[in-house]
Amino acid sequence: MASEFETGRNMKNIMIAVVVIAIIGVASVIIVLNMGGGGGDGPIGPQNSITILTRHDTAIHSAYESAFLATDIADEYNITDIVWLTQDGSFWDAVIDAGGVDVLWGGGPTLFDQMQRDGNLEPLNSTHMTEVVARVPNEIAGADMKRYDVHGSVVWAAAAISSFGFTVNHEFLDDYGLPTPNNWTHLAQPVWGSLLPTATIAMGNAPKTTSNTRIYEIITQGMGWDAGWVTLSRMAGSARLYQGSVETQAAAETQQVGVSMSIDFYGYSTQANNPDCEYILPQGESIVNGDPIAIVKDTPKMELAEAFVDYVLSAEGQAVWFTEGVNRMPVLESAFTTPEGLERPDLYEFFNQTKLNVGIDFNDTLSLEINTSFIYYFEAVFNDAHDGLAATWKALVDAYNDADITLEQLNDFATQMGTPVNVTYQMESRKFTVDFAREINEQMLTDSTFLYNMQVAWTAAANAQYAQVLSDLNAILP
Amino acid sequence: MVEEEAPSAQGEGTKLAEPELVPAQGSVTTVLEQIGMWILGLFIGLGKRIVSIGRWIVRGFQKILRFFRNPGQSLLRFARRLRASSELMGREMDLLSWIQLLAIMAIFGLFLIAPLLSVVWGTFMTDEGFSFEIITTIFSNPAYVPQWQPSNFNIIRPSPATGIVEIWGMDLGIILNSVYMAVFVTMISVLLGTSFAFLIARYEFPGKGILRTLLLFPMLSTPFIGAIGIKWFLGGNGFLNNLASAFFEVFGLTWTRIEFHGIAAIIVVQGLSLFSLVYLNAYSSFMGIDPSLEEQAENLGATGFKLFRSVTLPLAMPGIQAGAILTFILSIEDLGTPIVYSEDPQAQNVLAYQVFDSINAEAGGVNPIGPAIGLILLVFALSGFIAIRKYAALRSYASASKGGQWNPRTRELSTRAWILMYIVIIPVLFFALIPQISVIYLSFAQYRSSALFPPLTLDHYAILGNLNIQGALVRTILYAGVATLGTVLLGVSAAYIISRRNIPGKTALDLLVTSPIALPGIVIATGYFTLFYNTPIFPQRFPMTLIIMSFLVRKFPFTVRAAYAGLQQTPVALEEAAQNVGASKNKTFTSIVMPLIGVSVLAGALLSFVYSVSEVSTSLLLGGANYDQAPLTWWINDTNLGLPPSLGAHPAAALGVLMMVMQMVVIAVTNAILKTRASAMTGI
Repeated sequence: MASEFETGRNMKNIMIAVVVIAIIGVASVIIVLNMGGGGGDGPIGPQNSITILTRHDTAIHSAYESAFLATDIADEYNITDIVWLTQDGSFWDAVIDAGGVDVLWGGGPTLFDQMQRDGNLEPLNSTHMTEVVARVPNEIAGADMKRYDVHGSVVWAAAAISSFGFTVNHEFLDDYGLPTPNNWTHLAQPVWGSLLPTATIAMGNAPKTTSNTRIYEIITQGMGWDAGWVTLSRMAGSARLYQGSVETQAAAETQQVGVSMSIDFYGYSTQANNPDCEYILPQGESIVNGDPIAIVKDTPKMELAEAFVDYVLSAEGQAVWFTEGVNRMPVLESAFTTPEGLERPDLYEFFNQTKLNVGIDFNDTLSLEINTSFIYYFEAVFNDAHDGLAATWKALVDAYNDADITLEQLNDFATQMGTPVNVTYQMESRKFTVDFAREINEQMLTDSTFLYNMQVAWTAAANAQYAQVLSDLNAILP
Repeated sequence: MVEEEAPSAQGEGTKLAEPELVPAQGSVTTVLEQIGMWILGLFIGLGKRIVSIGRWIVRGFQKILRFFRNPGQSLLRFARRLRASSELMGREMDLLSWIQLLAIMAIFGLFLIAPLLSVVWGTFMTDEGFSFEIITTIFSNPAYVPQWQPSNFNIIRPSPATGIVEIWGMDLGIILNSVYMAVFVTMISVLLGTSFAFLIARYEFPGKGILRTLLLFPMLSTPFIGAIGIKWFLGGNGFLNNLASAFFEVFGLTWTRIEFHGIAAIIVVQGLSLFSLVYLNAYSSFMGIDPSLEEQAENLGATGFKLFRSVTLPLAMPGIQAGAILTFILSIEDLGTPIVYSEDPQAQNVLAYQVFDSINAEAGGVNPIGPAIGLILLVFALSGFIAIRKYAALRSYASASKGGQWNPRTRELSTRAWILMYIVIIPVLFFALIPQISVIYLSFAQYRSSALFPPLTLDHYAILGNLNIQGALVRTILYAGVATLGTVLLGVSAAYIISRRNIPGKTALDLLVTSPIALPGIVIATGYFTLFYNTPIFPQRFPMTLIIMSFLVRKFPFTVRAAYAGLQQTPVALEEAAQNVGASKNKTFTSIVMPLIGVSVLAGALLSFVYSVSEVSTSLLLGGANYDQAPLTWWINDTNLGLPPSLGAHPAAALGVLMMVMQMVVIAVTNAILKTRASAMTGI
């Protein structure tokens, strides 16, 4: 009897399940059929649409899509739809190869330089485009706003600028009696290591964030190669290395640290929403990045793509950056003369401040030549060897605070600690210099086993160097 | 005194039929000793099994070697065996079984094996041909080699300047880290899971129903946003430390702020979320014990802890061990938690993180190092699965009677006892639910500050009015629904073939359909992209098919394990009886088998559904092709990356709450339907 009852209950449950599943199944088939119906004429979208591959978020898509489709330019070319693709940067080659992409937009200069290297960018040298890219200044605060190919044609132009600074959490700084930093070099001072093992700074691990990488490149370019790496090692010793720019930003917001490396629009939004936080633009060490837009090589919808680029690089199009939830800095000053721009004196002041600020003259070509070596060296000696680095830096700071060593001695030890390391390459001991970085960059990019082995060797060399400094220090301590 | 007690405790351990004079509770040391003994026994058992798996693998390699030592004769023998097994296949398989088998092979071949091979191929094929160079490269990294320096054991690191005490894990090298982490997580899960299971199975007390449902909540996950919540709660200046500090201040005391870091943090977070799996298995085992066995033991004078240790626990051991091994695997392959703590270098030193860290090459390709580490991880995880399989085969005795439920031997707890119990349980449960509670709190908080109670707001829920989000919600339910329908059809087929058809290679089939749980999702997702992009399976603007198929394949194991467990607990005699009175094989399947295992299948299907909804890797990678077809997880990520106030972490947390509510409803419904049959949900 009991088992009959059980079976009956089971059957009822099964019937319910089958009915529910059947409803879901039928509904989804209908939806799939409906969705599959549209957009069949072209490889991606219909004839009168353009397809944009981008790293921008959906807030930017919707702002630009509605603004652009309402313009006369869109009318003139009969453009009725924008199709957005948002694949990760490492899949861009595959997506472009598959065809149908017209415009590339957002993702930083490094990604676009790679696209140029892989032959994916159309020279912007038509009469129409020559006039359009002429609106963009060549340089802002020392950073290139355009990139040229070997024939001297522009291949990408910046559509927006972002600057870098840091977000501080005043609660954290006040709690532990830390000063408010005003530039990058300040963050290399021993006071930032005084709380160790508690970190006071959040830095992004270079391979995981292009924006933070730009900060590190500027430091090594501006201060000189060896001195730059020493400064970075002192900062990294007081820091925790986060695996992405959003995580880095969030660290100051949640009071895990006192200072986070920040991209401007995140910093400003954090400041606006969290009263404990403030975004600081480093004095005299301004770092600006142009965020590019480009046209895909040989796209069949060239005219439509050009119309869109024209719009984005017009005063009217630049004003869309002011939309709430987007909040980026335009690359054209004329955006501030539009009705939307006139309502943002705060951003205009900041724009002028950025423009006037003495930037470090940044060498984009060098950055491109060594970028891969640079980011993986950073990861090997700071992220992968972080325990050793932090232990040595803590010992130095403690010894200095206990007046066991002088500031001069501290600086000497720190120089020994942060100077780029030597590893064996082709039977020769090679220091990580600019030349060596350039020499191996291509192989780092294409040969993952080589990259892996180099990183392992750098990490080992860095650990040995940190240990050596620590034992040298201990030898002179009372 | 101590010397006198020791031999008596030993005597108790060896002689089971001790006279009833021994007090039930015994002295505290005896009880502790016994608890220690059974924990030790549990892990000795686990260890033995792992060793036997190792031997099994070695034997496999030896077989392969023998094959190549004498290829001619081996081939001949192989051909003979092939003929014999094809005869066996012919006898065992009917048309329906063939269709089922071929459908499974086709789906798994296309959506699991092919993408995996397309990624892994480059790992072993170099210019000079097939080689293990990458594997040797990986193992030549000192970070993988076991480390024993004293500095690797620096667990407690006080920071005098801040007053925060940091608790870290040991750093023993990547491989040992993964293993010891999983072992500790398993220990925590077993202790918590078994205690809760015993409590719920054997005692009646107010609030039991609520507690039973709450115990399933740790399984809920909120991708991306859970990480932010956990850190906000557990940080040195986080909510919990602030709460404790405020509490201590009331009594004029100072609270020492504690912060978990690295592997210690991973162990805490994983242990508190995975114990639910041990709980489910142990609970069903406790419920499945024949009460007469315990009554006999009582008649012989065993009561209290002795009864528990010598009769109840051994009988429940199969369920506990199965749950333990499942926890071990899920812990070792979990990527989410190491990512949460990835700013601690130590947290990066586990296998799962290493896969993630080295899969995407800089220049738009796949870095073969990542998949290679993924394979090492897979070996560990599949070893665990083979262990479960071997063990599951041993415990089919437990299923002699089906269709009836034992009258559970429950007792009322006295008022004092249950109040005391809640004083212990509430903090434990609160800690276990931190990932969920913190997301809910985050969704209401205006901003993240160190204030104990930051200003609250409902504004973040405005995101639910976004049409994109509503579309994604409906789509996610549909995708998961269609995928679940597929897993049910194919999962029951697979389970039936594995359990009822004596065909060669069925262990391999079982491994195949179970392996997706142990395969890093990011490897499969990358394989999908490199293999299918711009083909009819994945046209440029149409990722929907592949998203659904990825749900189907990746969440398949839950349904197939549940259906298999149902079949193992159903005596085959019932089917034979039906066939004896004239029912055809198909009729037997639909009228006898399906009704008997229906509830198990439903449970497994709902679990597949719940986990599909929170799937991350493939959703994120494929959703970018057309976000009008992207599931909710893609939109949570997009929202999280946007700028406040309308986007950002807090509105993303509101979406996380929405996702949890969806999962809770499903779990609550399942729990209500199944009541005591929850074992089917993990079904090992």
